[in-house]
Amino acid sequence: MLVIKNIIGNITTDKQLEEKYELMNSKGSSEKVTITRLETQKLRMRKNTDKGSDLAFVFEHNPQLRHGDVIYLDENKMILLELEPEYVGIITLKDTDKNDQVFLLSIKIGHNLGNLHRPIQVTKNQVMFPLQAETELEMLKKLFAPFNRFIEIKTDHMVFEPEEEHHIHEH
Amino acid sequence: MNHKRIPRIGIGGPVGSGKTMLIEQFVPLLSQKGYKTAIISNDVVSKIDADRMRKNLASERGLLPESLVIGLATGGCPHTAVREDPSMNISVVEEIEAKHNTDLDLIIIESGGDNITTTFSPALADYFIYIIDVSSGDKYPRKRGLGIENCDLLVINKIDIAPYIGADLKVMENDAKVVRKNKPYVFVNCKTGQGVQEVAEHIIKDVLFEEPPKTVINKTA
Repeated sequence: MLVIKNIIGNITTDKQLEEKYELMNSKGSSEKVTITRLETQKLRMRKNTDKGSDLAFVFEHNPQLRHGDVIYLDENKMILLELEPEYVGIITLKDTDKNDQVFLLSIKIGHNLGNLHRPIQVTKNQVMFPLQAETELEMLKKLFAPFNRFIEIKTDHMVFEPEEEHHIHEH
Repeated sequence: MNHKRIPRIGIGGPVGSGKTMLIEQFVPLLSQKGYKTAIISNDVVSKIDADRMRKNLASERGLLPESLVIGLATGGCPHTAVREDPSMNISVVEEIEAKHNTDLDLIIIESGGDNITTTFSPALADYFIYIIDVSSGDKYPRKRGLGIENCDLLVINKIDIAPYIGADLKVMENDAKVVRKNKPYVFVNCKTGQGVQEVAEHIIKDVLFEEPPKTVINKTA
């Protein structure tokens, strides 16, 4: 049993490591272990590589494992971690520059709001949604903290009429 | 927090599927091998499962101290206490870890009975057992859901009643194979203990990594 306690690097971001992988792979010295997305934060698990090596993962903190992580390396062996592919839905916006900051930001804000299961009302540069209590403001500020540079969050007491073309799941 | 994490397993499943009884069956098997366990039992409003396990496993059989069977009334949706916001469970786990770092091998966290989308936050549990039972029909595994598909071990309980309700275990087995790909599943009857040895073996291999019990290691050290 090989105990894995840390990640050496990732071949998609570390050029040297990628070259090392190519070399070792061509010599048949690489092994792969496949996990699912839901296992990427596990602190403890036991897995086998494609060549049958017995691995015990033991981390002290959330390891946030990534596709392409090198989890073991010595002169004779490199073990690469891969994520199992899964079905994903893809929505592409027509006639929009995909690199546009506003587009990306809107998607992320929309995703967070959707996770709250709220109906929305949209104006040119605002999105409004009902709050269940004033105390939710604090939660919203935490939730949207990564976008602080780009947005302002405030509350109001007003008539709210949701957009009608959305299917929402409110509770 | 500067204590060492004790391996933790989470057990989820619908109300009445046999979560508590499964624990009552495998704890003695782990105990026979010398492994020391603690149990945290979540429920929506009551603590009856914890009270029952404390009586059956601690008071009557002395397999663990009474203080290490802890009931948590979580309120609300049971899955939130083990997935979205496991802070209540984590604080109890960390308290146990601080006191029992040298002798405890495993912490078992039982979720309150819930629907098929239950999962455990990886911050709370290292290994997730999901239990369903035959009485809900042999189509259950093919309905998928996060619990059934993604748990580390699927346990299908009450196999003894299959003939009485017209449930075909072969159908359940074939569906479990398709839905779970290579992940393991076990058929059990928690009333008699049939199949539970296999559950204990999975825990020893995949969670405890087949290491000897801590009390044994510390005695020889």
